Amino acid sequence: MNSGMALLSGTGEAPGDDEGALIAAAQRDPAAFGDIYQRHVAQIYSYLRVRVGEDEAADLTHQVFVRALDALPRYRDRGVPITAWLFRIARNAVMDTHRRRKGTITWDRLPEAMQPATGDDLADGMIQRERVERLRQLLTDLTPEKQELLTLRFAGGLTVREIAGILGRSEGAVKMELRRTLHALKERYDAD
Amino acid sequence: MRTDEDLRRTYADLLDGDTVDLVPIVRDLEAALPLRQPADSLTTAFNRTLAERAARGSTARRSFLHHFHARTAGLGWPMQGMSLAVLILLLAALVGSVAYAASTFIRVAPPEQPNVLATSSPVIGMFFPPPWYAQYRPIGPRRAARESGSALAYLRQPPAGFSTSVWIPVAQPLKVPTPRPAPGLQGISMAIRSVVQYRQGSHAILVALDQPSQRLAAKPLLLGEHTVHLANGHSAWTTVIAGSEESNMVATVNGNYLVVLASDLPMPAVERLATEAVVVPASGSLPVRHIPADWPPPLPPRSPPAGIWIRVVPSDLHASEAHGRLHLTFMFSIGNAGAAPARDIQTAIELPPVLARHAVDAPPHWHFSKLTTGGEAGFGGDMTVDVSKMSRATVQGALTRGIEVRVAWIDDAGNYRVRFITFRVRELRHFR
Repeated sequence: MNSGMALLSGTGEAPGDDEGALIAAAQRDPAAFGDIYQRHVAQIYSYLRVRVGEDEAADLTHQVFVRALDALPRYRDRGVPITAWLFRIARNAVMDTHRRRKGTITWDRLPEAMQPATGDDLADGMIQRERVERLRQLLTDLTPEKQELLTLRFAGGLTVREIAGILGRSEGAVKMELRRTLHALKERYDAD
Repeated sequence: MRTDEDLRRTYADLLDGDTVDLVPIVRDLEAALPLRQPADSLTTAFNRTLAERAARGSTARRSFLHHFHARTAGLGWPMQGMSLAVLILLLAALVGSVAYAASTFIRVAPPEQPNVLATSSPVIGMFFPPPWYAQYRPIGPRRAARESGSALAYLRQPPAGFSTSVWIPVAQPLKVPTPRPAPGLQGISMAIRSVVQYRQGSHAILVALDQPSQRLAAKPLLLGEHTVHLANGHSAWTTVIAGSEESNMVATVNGNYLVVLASDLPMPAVERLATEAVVVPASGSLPVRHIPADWPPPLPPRSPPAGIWIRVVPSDLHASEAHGRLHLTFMFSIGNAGAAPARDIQTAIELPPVLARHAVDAPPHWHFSKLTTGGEAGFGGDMTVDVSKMSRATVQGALTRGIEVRVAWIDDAGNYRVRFITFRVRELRHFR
């Protein structure tokens, strides 16, 4: 299906077409890539927002999809879903960004990016705000690998299976690691 | 709020089979690491990239025309032509509706209302008088409006003996829309469309035509300290700004615009002159004449524009022990290789927040440049941080590891770009 560029909107619903057909259409006609973009942009943006901060997330999201668009003619479905492929591009972009920043006095975005941007999300008001703030502190103490896992699962909205595909690990190993992390967070959370 | 059952379903691959109740922590993790939609303008930007790619490869264009011909092939050429005309009309209607949607209707908060500051956007003190870099041309306002296509406000009958000059800023926004402005200033933006200056000796009257962004105008605007009623029956809002040469200000609303008069003349005279204000609407059809609904955008579709290059060279970073100061010296150059039209560019250089709190002068550092075709401009600057109250480790870290600063620039089409560059001692770093 080629829905055309004019039909794209930032908040549109993901189309229900088969992903393989979408990819094939986009490989024939770049305009059809809009459907793939629309389906995945929120996941990629949310992931990047946590990983590099709000300042650069939009810019990096744009870059990720441009890179994907450039590489799409070479994309072959070898059991790697397009979601995993896009997240691999996003992770590489994050690593490039962190390499560039290494050792500098940076804008220190991570803690801020982890805060919900609006109060709308905190329906329970102050109490949950405080809980989230405490959790945010605990998250920054985790290893980068564990932060990455949580970010992929929550901000990226990916399933354990999808995360395993991106990281090249077994589904069981990813599930175990995520569970351990949740238990450890809960223990520290309750102990405070 | 999502129910526990809903969360258990969503995170079944994590929670199923676990004896410990992890739902509360999962709930808080959802709030701490939310799934967010980016701003619509990101999609708009990507659409443009797609359009460029499609045009470059012409695959999409061929495909579109192919489909059009295929669908109308059996109709014969008169019907094909008619179908194409209908299509063009539909596209024109679509563009028209977008422009209409971008228009703003200004609501005014009465200053006499209790707690008005809590429910309105105060604008006069923030956006007027015009900036110091305003450059007035000694031409008549009607000619200026005609030549520029910009909307403009002027006095139908200015006082006798006053000379007239006009400033029409090419770079419209007053604030570079940095991605993370100070709290409370998100989306606060105003475009100065024009300022007409009437001057006689030491007396001056400034007539500005301003246009608030949609986000700013989402709340009622507080336009002055007092509501007054002009002789023509219209409401106006007056303010006296102490310390300003043109201290008496009168603001009125005209459609999507604010007309602001400022003068050293007595307030009753300024109120009387406000009834003489005439607004010439924009005659240019360029979309840059409007402030789009999603302005300021998060990033441009493609920038710098073809042919424009920008280079910031962090030329030095050193600490002065005696004065407790850290200096970041930079050279900044910007050029037009000749392929791009002349344009105005504003640039802001900002320190990271941890250092900005100790900056000697208020960041960001601003630069304004006008690029002619085939031209180049250069600046030098120095950002100074008082490190006397900072830890020695932080200062040493800055000197040994470097400092990342943010450079934001915006062109006169409203596109902007943000780049991070690192100041290191004697390191040169370029970016495009």
